[in-house]
Amino acid sequence: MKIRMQITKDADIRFVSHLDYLRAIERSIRRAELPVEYSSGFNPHLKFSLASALGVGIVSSAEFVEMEMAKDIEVNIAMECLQKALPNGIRIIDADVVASNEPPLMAKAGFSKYKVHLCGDGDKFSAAVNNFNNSTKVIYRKQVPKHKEKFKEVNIKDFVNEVKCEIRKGEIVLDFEIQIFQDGSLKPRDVLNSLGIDYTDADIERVAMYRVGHLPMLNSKK
Amino acid sequence: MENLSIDVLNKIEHPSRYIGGEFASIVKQNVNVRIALAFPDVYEVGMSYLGFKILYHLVNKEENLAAERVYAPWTDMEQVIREKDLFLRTLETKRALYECDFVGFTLQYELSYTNILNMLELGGIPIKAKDRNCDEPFVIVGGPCVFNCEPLAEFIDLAIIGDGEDALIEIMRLYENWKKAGKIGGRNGFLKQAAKIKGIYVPSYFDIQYNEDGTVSEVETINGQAKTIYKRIVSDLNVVDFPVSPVVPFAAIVHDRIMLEIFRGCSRGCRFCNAGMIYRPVRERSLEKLLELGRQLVKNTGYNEISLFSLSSADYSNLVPLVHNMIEEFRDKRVSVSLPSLRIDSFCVAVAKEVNAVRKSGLTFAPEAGSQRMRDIINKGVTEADLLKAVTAAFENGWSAVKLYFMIGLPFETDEDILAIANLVKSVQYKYYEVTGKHGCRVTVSASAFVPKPYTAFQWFGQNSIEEIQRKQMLLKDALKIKNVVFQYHDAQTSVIEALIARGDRRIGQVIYNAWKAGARFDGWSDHFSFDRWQQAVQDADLNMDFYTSRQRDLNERFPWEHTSPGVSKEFLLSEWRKAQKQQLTKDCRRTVCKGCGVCQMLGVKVVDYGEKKSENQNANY
Repeated sequence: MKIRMQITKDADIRFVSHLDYLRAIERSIRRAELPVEYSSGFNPHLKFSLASALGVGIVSSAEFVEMEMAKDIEVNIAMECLQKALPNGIRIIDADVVASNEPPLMAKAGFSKYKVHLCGDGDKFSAAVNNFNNSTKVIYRKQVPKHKEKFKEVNIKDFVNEVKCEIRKGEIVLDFEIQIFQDGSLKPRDVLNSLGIDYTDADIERVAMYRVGHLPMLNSKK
Repeated sequence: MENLSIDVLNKIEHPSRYIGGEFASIVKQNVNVRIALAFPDVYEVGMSYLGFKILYHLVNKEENLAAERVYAPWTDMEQVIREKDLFLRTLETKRALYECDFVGFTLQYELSYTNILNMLELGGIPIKAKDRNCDEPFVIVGGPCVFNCEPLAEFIDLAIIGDGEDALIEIMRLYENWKKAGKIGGRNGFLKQAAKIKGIYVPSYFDIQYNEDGTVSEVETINGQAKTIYKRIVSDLNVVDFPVSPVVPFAAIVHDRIMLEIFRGCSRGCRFCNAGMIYRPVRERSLEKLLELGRQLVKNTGYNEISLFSLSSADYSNLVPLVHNMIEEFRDKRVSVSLPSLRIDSFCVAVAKEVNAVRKSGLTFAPEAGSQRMRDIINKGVTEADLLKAVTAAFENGWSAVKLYFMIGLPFETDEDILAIANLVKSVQYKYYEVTGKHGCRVTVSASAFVPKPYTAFQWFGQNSIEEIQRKQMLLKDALKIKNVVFQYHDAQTSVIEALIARGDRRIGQVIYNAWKAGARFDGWSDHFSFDRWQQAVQDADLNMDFYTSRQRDLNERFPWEHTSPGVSKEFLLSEWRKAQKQQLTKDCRRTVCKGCGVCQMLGVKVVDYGEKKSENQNANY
């Protein structure tokens, strides 16, 4: 069986890298003594994976971890044991159980939804956002991972249909969904860059993740 | 108690170094006494230091006391702190260093001292002890280099000489009472009482006089202070607390595994080794105690590797049962067991094979010197035959690569001794051919430049000049132009500055200050080290580098560090220095008879070893 959980990456650990976040989960599973399967081979590792990598500095209430179990365990007990062993900043929100032969969660993710809090000139932002929403093509030079000097041109509109912009007192709140395709997706920072926004002081949160057709990632939504 | 803002953390490398909040970290908001355990290097290095894991746990276990952590900010973070007028803060309650009661630095390495000054400034604390007022922290130091902390005398308020487990709690409790009573007598009021605690050194209570030739003439004490501070020592490691729930970091640190201290001390008596003198005598933990600690550590941390930690860890009396039991017990949890260092014998290779200590990488051995003459001078106690037996066992067990550690610039060294390293390497490669019938044994040779240290038999030795070290490096480099041999060596200039500070006196404080003011940071990182800057710093302090480094000391010279003692007698060290010249060996006292170093008698402790005593004539490699 496989146990899948929706977990968080809270604000206090937002600057933990994706790899370090994975390692923290691995060590938590070991502390919790959950019966997760080991890979075979010279360097056995626990069989678990995350649905989608999150950039450093981004908060999330929608991380999805999938664990392959060596033996059956009650999902509520698994949740309880693991929660006790997790570091502060990672909370379990929901969980479900599926058969081992189910396709991995990673293959199912269709959209990530983000919320961004910013400070700045509201009028300037809403103009940029309007312009973005009314265009059919927004070309952006995306940096190729691990190649600092290499860029690839993408049309942001293939990934993000609309950006919602709300201007509150001295604060701008952006909402958008980024589509996840088999061959990749975009980072929320790419979207902000294409809008001409300096992301260094933007407070970005991944608030949800859906399957294609906006179906929930897990089967049992409590 | 502010947190760093998003834009700051977005702009710097490895932001998780500065955020804290790791699993099992302890945040205590309201306490009576707070110490910041300060490691003068980056997070990844400092988090790997066992001493602070022990003290963090011990202090936080106490009611009304708190220990927090702080590490040297990398240069990008330092820039942010300076530009934005921020302070260096602890990871737990995010207090600026000046808001703590104590800031405790560990002295691990002389080239990290400039970081200490830098951290004090960034933490809002006056650099010099005399400039601190009653509301500012006491700067306290400990660690291996504390046995000569004279170069830092001006900057520190007090030092713990030796094991810190008991002394640190005592000093914090003393402070608690002094604070409660209204800080009677000011800073001096506290220091006066602190100086009465065993193992506590208050540098300002010692007045050092110098001869015309620059050597120390006299040491006067004030306030009725004892003339010599002997180290504090934990006599039985089985009764002292060992942390079973250490902080588990998010980031990958240098030693990212469980560190289980199996014993403290080493009495093999290598004459170059400082650790071998200052941690005497050997005190083992019992097998049962270690298995129990290991069990709890595995459960509490979630790590998948446990390192059996000590000096020369293969010397542990019950190593085989310890390793067997651990492997058996943790098999299901996929926890591997590792040994940080291997002794040169086939027994160790057999153990190494079992523990998978060194997965695909090569085995590492440290013959330290190439010729038998030289190995006898340093009292290494191994022969070429021992090494060849060990590598034979390694090759028979499937290893095809070895790494060999050597030192160059040792006392009484000749060019023949250097060239002998190359011959030894060839013998190792030929042994591989004999065992496997194949060529192509890979040998990595690493040679560091010898730095004479206080409280060793070689403390009288004048270090080789930079030119001499470089000449020897080239000589060896040329001799090691052998197929499948890689030669690594260290920058001679770094070793000279390390030597300058290691045997420095109080006047070296000005050199460290000058270098720091001129921008010295992370001098242990080769890309940050500038020899010119240090040379200028020595010149500006009106001192002579050679006086501290290459000068051969007179046998009657009084050393600047003699009033902070690990208990080893000067007569013993002198006799070792003389025996070195005659290439005479001194065997380990651990399982034979006392060799008269004086530590046990002086400190009222004894060797704690669970192995069998052997007669003097049996091989020193048990």
